[in-house]
Amino acid sequence: MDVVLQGIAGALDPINIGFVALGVSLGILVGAIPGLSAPMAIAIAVPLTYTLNPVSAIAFLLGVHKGGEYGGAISSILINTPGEVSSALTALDGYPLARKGMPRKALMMSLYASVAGDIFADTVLILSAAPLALLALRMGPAELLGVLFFSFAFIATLLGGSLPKGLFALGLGMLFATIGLDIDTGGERFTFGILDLQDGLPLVSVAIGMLALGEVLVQMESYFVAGSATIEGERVPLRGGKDDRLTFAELKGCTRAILRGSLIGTAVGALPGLGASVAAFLAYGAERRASKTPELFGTGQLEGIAAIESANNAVIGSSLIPLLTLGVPGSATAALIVGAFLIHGITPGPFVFREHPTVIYGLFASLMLANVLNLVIGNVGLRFFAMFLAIPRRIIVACTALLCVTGAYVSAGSMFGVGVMLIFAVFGYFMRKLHFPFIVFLIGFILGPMFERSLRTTVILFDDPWSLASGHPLLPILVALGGYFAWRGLRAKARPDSVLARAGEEE
Amino acid sequence: MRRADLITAALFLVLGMVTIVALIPRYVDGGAADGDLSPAFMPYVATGLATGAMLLLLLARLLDRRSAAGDAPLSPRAWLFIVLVVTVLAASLALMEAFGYLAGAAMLVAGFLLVVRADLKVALGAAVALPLALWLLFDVALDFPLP
Repeated sequence: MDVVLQGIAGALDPINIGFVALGVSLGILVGAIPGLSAPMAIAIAVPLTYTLNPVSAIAFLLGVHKGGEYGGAISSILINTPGEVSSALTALDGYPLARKGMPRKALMMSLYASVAGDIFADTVLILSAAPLALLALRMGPAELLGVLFFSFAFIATLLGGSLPKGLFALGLGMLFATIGLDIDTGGERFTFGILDLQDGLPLVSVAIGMLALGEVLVQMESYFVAGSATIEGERVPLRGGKDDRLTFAELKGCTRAILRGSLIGTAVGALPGLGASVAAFLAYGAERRASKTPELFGTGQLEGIAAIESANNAVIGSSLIPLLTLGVPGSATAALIVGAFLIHGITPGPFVFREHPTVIYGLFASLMLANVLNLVIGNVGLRFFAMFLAIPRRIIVACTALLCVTGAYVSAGSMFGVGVMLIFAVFGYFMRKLHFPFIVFLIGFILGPMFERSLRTTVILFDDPWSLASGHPLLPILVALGGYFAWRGLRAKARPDSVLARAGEEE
Repeated sequence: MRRADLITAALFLVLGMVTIVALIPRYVDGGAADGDLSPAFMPYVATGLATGAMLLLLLARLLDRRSAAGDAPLSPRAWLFIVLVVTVLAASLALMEAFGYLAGAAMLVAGFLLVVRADLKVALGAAVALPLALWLLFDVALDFPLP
């Protein structure tokens, strides 16, 4: 109990509150600007957290993520251009509602639904993480190998439009992760005599290149080739008509939608590889099916906004469940959070509850704090954040590129990190253009070493496959489950108009 | 897209085979303790997976002639763009290495803004203001030494 109280006290430290507030504000701002996204901001912000204490550092990054998911709705609703991929569907009902003179109503619904989804998922995380970690402690390398195989099957199949491209991205990510000195034998792998490569490729540089600068290049290209990035909708002023206030009755009427969205988002987030876009697509579909007036969806239905926004925010908290219980990051953003944990000497996984309980409970308290701050800052600062929609996108693109270079330098402490970032930015650009899932690449890059370690330990411990399968039944079960879900996922994606196919492409 | 997929798949299939046949034996130490796997094991697994996937993609696109139509993902202008951008980035980094952060960053911002057809005055103004702001933030306020 003492560690819980110490954790809460740490979270309520004024400096920590300040950093969480800063993270949430930065997240809303970044999310609201089309072309920037929370994962991009997190990738660039990771180096900034080096000097912070672990709780403040990770809470700051999670604040960026939470604020970013809500911020994405601001541009979706006001200019019909999603700031975040997962907010793309919010524009379907948000923008028509804003055009009817009710932009604030749409924005407030999205804020309340986002915060409700966050609170729901964080509560599930807090209640389930420690018991699940206890279970995970009973798992050996063979079981972990099964979990990783299951995750890979899921991720490679469901993310992106094509299975071969998903598998290629996964394999390539794992191959790049082998660069450096072998942890067991000290043997060199693809170092080509370059000293900097002996420690492997720096994760933050790779992530900034793939996630942030790669996206910047794609947006720049659309200006260069066509003269404009995207066709934006007519901007709706924030000042609406007399019906622009969200009433309590309207909020109450959306309770079921918020609950459904939160449940879907939490379930999707807990599964490795499926992100906020998949949750938003599934929640919107479920809400439309449950509605008595499905034909009104797309014309300004508050339930549609509530379902999407609660789902995409709920993913954030629950994506920490596999991370904290198994040490498996379920998304690119979670992978970046791993980077932040490692910087502070903390390895996420089941042991973290025993080794760093104060940090974990401080983090849980900070998550809840971030939800409160998201509600307050999102409410009070709405007019301020909406102002940033007027900044020319060209300036934002150039500023982001410079931030990427600066962030990579700060992270690696040398120009080597910047060079790596540039190579992976160009690589990320081509992956996007050729429809290869770059997120799968990143997950393969991050989980590759863990997979190799489990595989090697399993091979050393068990030379007979039959004794392995009989002594550790979870391994064949997880392998079979991975194969089954992959097969189901492929069948679902093959159907025309499939939610998974569309969401996977977006992700 | 079919043509682009075919070219990509063929290219990476060849690269994958070169990696398996030449690069891994040459650039990965093969020795391992008794009972342990060789350090080359994982590179072989990962390259095998990627190469196999490209073989699968190649076969799928060869057999599927329905997707022949569609826009090419990389137009000649897109290639010109990527050459321009890589040149700007390389020149900026060289400047940064030689003359410090402000010079390289100014080159990067101005170059990028000109590539996206921004107004010259805007590009020059941003090239001064943005690097200076970030230098003040990182180097002065946060005490992260920049090059």
